[in-house]
Amino acid sequence: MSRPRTHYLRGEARRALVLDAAVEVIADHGLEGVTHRAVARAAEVPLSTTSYFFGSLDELVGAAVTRIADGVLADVDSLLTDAAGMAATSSIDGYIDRFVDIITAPRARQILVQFEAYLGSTRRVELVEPVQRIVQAYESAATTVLGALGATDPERAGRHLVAVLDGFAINRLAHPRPDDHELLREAVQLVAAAHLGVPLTRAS
Amino acid sequence: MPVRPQSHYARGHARRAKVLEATIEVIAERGIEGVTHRSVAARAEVPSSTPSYFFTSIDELIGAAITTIAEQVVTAVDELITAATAGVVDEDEFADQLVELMSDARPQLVRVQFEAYLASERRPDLQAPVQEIMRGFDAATAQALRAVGVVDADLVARQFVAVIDGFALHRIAWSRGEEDRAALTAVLRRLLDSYRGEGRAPA
Repeated sequence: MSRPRTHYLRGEARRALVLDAAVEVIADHGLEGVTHRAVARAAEVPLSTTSYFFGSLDELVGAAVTRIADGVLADVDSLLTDAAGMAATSSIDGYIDRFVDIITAPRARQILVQFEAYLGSTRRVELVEPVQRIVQAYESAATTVLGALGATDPERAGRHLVAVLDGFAINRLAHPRPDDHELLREAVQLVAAAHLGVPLTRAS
Repeated sequence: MPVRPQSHYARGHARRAKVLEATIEVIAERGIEGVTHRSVAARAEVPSSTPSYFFTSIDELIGAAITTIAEQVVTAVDELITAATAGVVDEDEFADQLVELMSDARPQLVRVQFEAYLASERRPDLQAPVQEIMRGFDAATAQALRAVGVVDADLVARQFVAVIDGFALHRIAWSRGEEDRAALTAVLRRLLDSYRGEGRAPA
């Protein structure tokens, strides 16, 4: 990317501010709760600002989800960069623990919005592409990692891993239980065991 | 002829059920926030005053609609467990039917179910029915796992439910047709083999 001018940068920062506010509104009120007024209030900008950047509410919602997708892609990229170095030095267990930590790191609210977008993509065409990009990014990262560890069917192993993570996440949003994290860690280790064909022993 | 409250009641009951069915359809089409007395009445083809006759608030209406899904789930699961206990369906069929019940057979209901999961934090009326659905699935899955000799079936069940829910969620987000079901079946089989081989992960 060429170096943006200050003026442009300020515009970009305001646009990002509006999108972050839209994400908060979606978390609080669902996709249908997004209005110019609600987003402008959450962003603490004049009412005209949101429509300056976005011609329609659909466009605004689409851009907010695209911003989440971009964030996911960046996270996943750094995960894979880390992965290259870690594979050599760390146990499979330690590696998987780290993978789970990174994937589950996004705040509960972001996951909530991400899932609202998944469900909303069946009725909002502008969400189809960013939503697929999010799922694809997670799955291809998981596929790469499990493939590197020797999974016999890396693609399905990757889908399995991301399904476990997202399945736990949606159940946890609906009904959090104290042992969620522990069970999740165990579930992920078993995913690895099931696909790597070797029994895992815990580091500690 | 004497007044027959029974049929009067039955008629009211049928209208209430119609309103709830319409509510589920509205949620599937427009999300939880799309539910209004007006949108539900239009969908149910009843006067716009009818939903508020049965339900005093929108949250109560949505909660009742989600409860009907929970009841259907629990009934279906009970029937399946009865069939399994009686030996009418074998292990493989049981697993297949459980997946069918939790995702395949009811794509629209799964979407509505997940809408309720996501909305339950901001709508407390949904928490009880949502937890009822989750308990129903957990119990059925635990039963299935016990039947094939998995120890600690109750905890392991939640892991299987997570996989099935995760696949269902991804199918909504990004369907890959036939491969979805094939991948889920393959994955559950592998997972089951690994549990049978080792029990729970060594502590």
